[in-house]
Amino acid sequence: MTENQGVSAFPLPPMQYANMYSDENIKRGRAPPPPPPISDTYTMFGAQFTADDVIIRPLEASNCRRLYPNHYDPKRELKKLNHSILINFLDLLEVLIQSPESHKRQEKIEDLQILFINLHHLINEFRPHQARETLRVMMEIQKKKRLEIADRFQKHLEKVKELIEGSVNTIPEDMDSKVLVKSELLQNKIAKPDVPVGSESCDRLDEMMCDIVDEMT
Amino acid sequence: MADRLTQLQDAVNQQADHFCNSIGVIQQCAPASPFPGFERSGGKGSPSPPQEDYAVLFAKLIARTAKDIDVLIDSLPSDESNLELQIASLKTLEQENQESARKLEDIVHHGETLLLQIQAALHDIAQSQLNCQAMMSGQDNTPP
Repeated sequence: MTENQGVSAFPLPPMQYANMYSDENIKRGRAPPPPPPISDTYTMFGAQFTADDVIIRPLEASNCRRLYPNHYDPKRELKKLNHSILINFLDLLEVLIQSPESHKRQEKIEDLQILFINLHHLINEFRPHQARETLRVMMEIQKKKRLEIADRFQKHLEKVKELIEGSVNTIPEDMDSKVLVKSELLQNKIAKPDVPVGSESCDRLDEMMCDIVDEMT
Repeated sequence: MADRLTQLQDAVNQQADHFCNSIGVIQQCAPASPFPGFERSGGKGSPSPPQEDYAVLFAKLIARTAKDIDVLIDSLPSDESNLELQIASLKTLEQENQESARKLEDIVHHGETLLLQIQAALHDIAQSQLNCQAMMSGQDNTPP
């Protein structure tokens, strides 16, 4: 759409970098190597710190109150949080009915906030587990596929061998035929270098007659 | 359909939405409450009768979402397959995968060798046929 107007909506590619990767530079080995991976923190789009040290599960204690013990059964804690959320909501309704302008309303809202954050945090703690499970299942599927392919390939190979042996066996053992040539496949040897056609044709004829006679005896 | 964790996250967010929406909607379309002992001039315009009973509706929604969240939590795997088991099974799987890769490579190599042999044989056959034809045409040319 924007191309019709001749003006692109996107910024131009960085030509000052792209020009360093010309064909001659790559051939001469003078193209710059890929940048090393960044460790530590860095800024992105100005103020946004995307710290590289952050583990998948940042510590809850850094942001808000933690509501479940250190050793916990995730499913039980999740259910407890779910029910707490419901009860707190009912409390909030009570507060709104009785005294909407009081302090308690704000406190209840903060309680709900903390509960929700905890709930989401617990759910996120499952993510690495899920990633490992996905990896495991993927590897199992890969292994099964490889074995299956190897099996089918083996079967094909055997079929091909049978086919070749069958067709070799059906070659007529016709010694008088002039077109009898030495078949390498029967002896299972590597191919001999071919005599160039056209030169010494008489010698070739003699050679073939000698071969035929040899095989007859 | 999204995976269980995403479904759970969506359900939790939906529950929060229900909370906010329910309070907002009911507060918006609630009839004004009368003050005791305060006379109004004339009869106040009767509020529009509630078309739907929002309270019941939202109560149902919230209860249903809470139940959904419970069911989803139940469907999550318990902590039997904990970290060490997973890592151990990953290691075994990696070795088995490498083993099967080696097997596959072997068989493919066999296939390739066979292919080369067949190609060589075909080459021989074609070459010999050409030679024969050259001979036969040579024979025809030479006077008997």
